Amino acid sequence: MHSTGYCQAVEKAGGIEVPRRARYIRTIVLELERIQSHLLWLGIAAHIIGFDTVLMQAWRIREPVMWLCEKITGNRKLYGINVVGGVRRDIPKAMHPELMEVLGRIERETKAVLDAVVTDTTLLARLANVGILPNKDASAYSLLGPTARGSGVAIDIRVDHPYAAYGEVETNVMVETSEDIWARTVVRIKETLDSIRIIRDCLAMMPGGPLQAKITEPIPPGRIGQSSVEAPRGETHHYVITGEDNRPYRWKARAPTFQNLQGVPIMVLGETIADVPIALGSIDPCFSCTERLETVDVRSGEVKVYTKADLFRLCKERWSKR
Amino acid sequence: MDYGLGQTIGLSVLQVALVLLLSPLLEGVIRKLIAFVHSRIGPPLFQPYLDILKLLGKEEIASSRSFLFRYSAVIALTAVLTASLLVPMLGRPPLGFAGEVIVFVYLISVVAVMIFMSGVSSGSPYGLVGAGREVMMVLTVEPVLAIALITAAVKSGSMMFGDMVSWQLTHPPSISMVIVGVALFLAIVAQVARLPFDIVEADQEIMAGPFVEQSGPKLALFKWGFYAKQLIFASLLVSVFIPWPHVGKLAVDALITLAKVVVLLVLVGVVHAVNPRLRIDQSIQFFGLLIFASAAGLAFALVGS
Repeated sequence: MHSTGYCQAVEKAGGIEVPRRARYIRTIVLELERIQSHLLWLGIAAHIIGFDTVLMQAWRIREPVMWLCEKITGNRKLYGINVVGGVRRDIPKAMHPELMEVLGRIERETKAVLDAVVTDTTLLARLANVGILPNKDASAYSLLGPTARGSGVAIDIRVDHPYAAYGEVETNVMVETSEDIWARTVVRIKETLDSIRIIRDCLAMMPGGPLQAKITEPIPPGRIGQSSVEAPRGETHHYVITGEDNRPYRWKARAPTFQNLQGVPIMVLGETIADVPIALGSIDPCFSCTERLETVDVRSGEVKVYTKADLFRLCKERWSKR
Repeated sequence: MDYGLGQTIGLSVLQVALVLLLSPLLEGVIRKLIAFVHSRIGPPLFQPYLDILKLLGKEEIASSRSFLFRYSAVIALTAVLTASLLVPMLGRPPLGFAGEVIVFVYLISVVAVMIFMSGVSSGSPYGLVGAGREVMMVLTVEPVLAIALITAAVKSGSMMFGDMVSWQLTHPPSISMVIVGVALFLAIVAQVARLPFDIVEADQEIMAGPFVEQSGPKLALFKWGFYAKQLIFASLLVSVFIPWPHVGKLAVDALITLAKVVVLLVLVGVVHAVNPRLRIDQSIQFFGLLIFASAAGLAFALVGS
């Protein structure tokens, strides 16, 4: 997903046209990633509220997707399928029946889990009307992905600024309006099912042709390329300035967690300790993606932002004392 | 009912040994069952024994020098084992005396108090939150336990478990006993810290709460106490509320009781596996309603049905 964002940014900067088949393959891999990410989240969210049965079942359902990804790309995660100008591996016709079979199975099982959880009153007691994120705050703080869509903000890069094959394949924006953790859960489960349909459509419509664009000229330096990708957690933005020798001069990636974290204080305001972990979990946080550590001295109000060098120094001091 | 001193001591030793040796196995059965619901293979049946052995052999790391922090585990396990002497596990309780029901409820409260003390004295904020939750749980769960036992006492006209069992055996099931029996089952789920009432420990929220700083042998004793509590409560429920069939031979009855205990603990395991954890306020609300329900059961008993 990040590799797609980076490649698209470079392709925009260099004016490279990606072949249609490659864009379809990118879409399929992106959607497979969304499926496994949402199922992973479902398991972790259930674990946070102590529902380990859902954790185990969600991850059991997820496993065939991982095997499938390994079969297509060679890796369970971090697929390494993208190159600037296209993709590295094909999804041959011979693989379609197996793909369809696995998709059918996870669709059936995900629906079964959905049926089981919507009737679970204890689960609803923990998720419904908890961690409320009002619609106006979700827009005001520019929250992204399922976190925003659960509060009724209909944003989805796949539809708003189509990339890969999303302009050609029907893509639905899943919006829920109840603004609570349950809404974010339902959005993710519905998206999982929609992703399965998108992959099926992609396979049916998959055009022939090359996998990579022929790049003969070096990409000129000083060009700017930007690209957004709808990651499972929300919009991921990549910004590239090209440099000498086909290398990037500057590259900045913004993952959605930093944005979505801003919504958590609103969600947990006035809630109990028991609701804090699941409210935080409901944005599907990726703390390594947030890039900065900030401390606030409550007495003086002084704010200090730690840089990478600061953190490195602190780590060294801490461990050399022992 | 009077037994000779030798018989009393013999039966007591036998019962305590039984509780200590058997309870980890039943925990293993529950773990296997939960693993089955999870589509996992699960740990070996004897894993709880190994857990206890491993913890007993570990070094003690104490976060606090407080007396209560150091001895809460020992006191809790002692209270559980003493309470086990009052439960008619092998047909009759080893220590039978008038009013044993009240002593039983008090001994069980001692365990809760020790968990509270362990949390408060641990010096950890997680321990404090867990201790607070423990108090709230006890205040709502123990009335259900007490009302259930009082109902049985009213029905049988005796405060002794042995009399309750023999009364149940000679009388058909009644509405009041069914109501408080179900209430007692739910109270047991909470008492043995199973989901949805695993609120005091709540690993994902407050990192085992009162036990956050407990380690090594002390943690082993706490765990053992929990396993023993599971067995004691289950055998209390099956022997007082579901005493049938009763053959009259000690060995056969013991086996039947064991089978019923396993079935009951399997039920506890199923409830554990199909529920997420409730919040403390939701649990209080639930047990508040349950107190009313079991009080209704008591009222039925008082009017004689």
